Amino acid sequence: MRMNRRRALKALAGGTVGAWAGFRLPLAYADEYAGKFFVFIQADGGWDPTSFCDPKTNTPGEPIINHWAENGEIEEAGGIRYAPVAGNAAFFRKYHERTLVINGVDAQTNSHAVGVLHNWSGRNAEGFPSMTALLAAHHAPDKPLAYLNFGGFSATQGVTRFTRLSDADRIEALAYTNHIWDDAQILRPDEWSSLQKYRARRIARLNEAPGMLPRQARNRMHYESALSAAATEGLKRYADALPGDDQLERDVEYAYGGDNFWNGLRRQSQLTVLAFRTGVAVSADFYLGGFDTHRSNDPKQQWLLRALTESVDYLWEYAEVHGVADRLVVVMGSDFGRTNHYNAEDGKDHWPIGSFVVMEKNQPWTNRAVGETDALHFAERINPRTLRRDDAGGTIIYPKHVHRALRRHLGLENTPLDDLFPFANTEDFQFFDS
Amino acid sequence: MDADAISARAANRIKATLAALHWDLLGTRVSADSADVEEAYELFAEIWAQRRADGDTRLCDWPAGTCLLHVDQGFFEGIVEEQPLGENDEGWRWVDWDRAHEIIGGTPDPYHVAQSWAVVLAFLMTDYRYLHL
Repeated sequence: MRMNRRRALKALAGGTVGAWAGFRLPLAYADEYAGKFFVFIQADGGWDPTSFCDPKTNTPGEPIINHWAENGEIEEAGGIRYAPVAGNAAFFRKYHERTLVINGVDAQTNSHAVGVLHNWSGRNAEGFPSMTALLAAHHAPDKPLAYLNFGGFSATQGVTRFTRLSDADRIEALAYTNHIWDDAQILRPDEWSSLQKYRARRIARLNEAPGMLPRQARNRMHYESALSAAATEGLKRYADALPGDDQLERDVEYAYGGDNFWNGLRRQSQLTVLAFRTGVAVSADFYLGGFDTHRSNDPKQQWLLRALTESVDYLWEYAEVHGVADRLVVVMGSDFGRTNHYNAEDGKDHWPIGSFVVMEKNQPWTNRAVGETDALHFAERINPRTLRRDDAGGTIIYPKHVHRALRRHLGLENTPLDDLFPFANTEDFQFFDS
Repeated sequence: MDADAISARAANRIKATLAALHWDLLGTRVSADSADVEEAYELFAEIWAQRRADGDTRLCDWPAGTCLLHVDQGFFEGIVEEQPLGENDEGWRWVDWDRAHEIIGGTPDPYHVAQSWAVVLAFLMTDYRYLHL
């Protein structure tokens, strides 16, 4: 059976290199990806779910958990309850029908490094890649920029490579390698053509060398993939689609109490949606930092949460304009949550319980919140099948449960990549069943 | 090498240099009759034939083939003794790019050897082994 580039790269990513050894790659390959696109938004530093999607009012006899609850009430949109602060109302009223909230997810740590690792890889020890990396490796191993990352956790564990992107002009330089500006070129067209011809001939010959180690084979295949006609044409499409630098959104800055915060999510949305539309990428990690609010928790969290929700709104609208919204999956999360009381500086410290927010259009599992926490934001035991509180037979929800369910929903379950990074002895939560 | 053909003697010298470049740039020891060297030599000869056919004897056919003077401060080495510098009344000095382009653009490459080597070097520096090893 003839093995094409896509299958060969997937075999490599899955560690089954022996299956394709000696295979010669086609030099031109075009693969129209018709699947979903994935955006994982890392709210870095530890967001406060009790002021967002797991709202908590104050309990008599306990320390104040939220100042907003001194006068405000929890609000609800569809099946989702939210805190009446920041841009929550506008966001959940507009998007509750495409949103699933998973509350009470225990990161089992108060350490940022471990919380980030745990929430975005599904395991609290090094060794697993981000799910965005797995999705790129599985769904689009031959795309030139399959996995975009704008900061935060980006471990690939060798299954794919990520592209850190911020300067759109670099894309043009990559796409039009021999161009400098306007019509000026470094090499004459016939020289450039000859160089490309001999380079293709050389890498094809090198790929036929016997006895390559898997890592060598993988690198050579990635190299050739990046230079393939399909990849080059894709990059040109992307470069041509990108607006001028003055048309791209700028970071929005906020200063409070001597701390500065920057929101670059809108620019990240533009670069990503256009990469999806032009067929060069399928997954992206977005990054919004600053949530580590040990001082003045409320104004900072609320500015950041508004920045987050308004930017996600922008992402959906931009995706709609460019025709990819119906294929878009958005996942939001953070390192962990924040304490169920304020410290002496009106800040909140680290708290291991957090939430995930998953968004997708036209799904039967949306418009609801699952998982539970008590009045003081301690996680309850949940029955994996019914998703209801079950103190006797249930389990605390951990990131691995969310990842396992997402892997199934997003088409990774029982693939070589899934086997390579297994969640052994992990309960099977039915988050994405209706 | 003369203006009409690459002599056998010149070809041997070019191949010996290519073998050395494979070690210097790629860390690969190859002989002058290896597939690597033959490949690079064929490219050299192809570029040489192209330039010879169009008859342009300048190093940089600017602006159609632009030398990246501004990103390579070593560009002038072996071509001019001193970089062309401008200077203002306060003693500030800078590279005079207009003059630099005149110098480089007017630099002769009568046998097309410099440009052939430039393309072969670009080929070697985009080799998988240069980028990944």
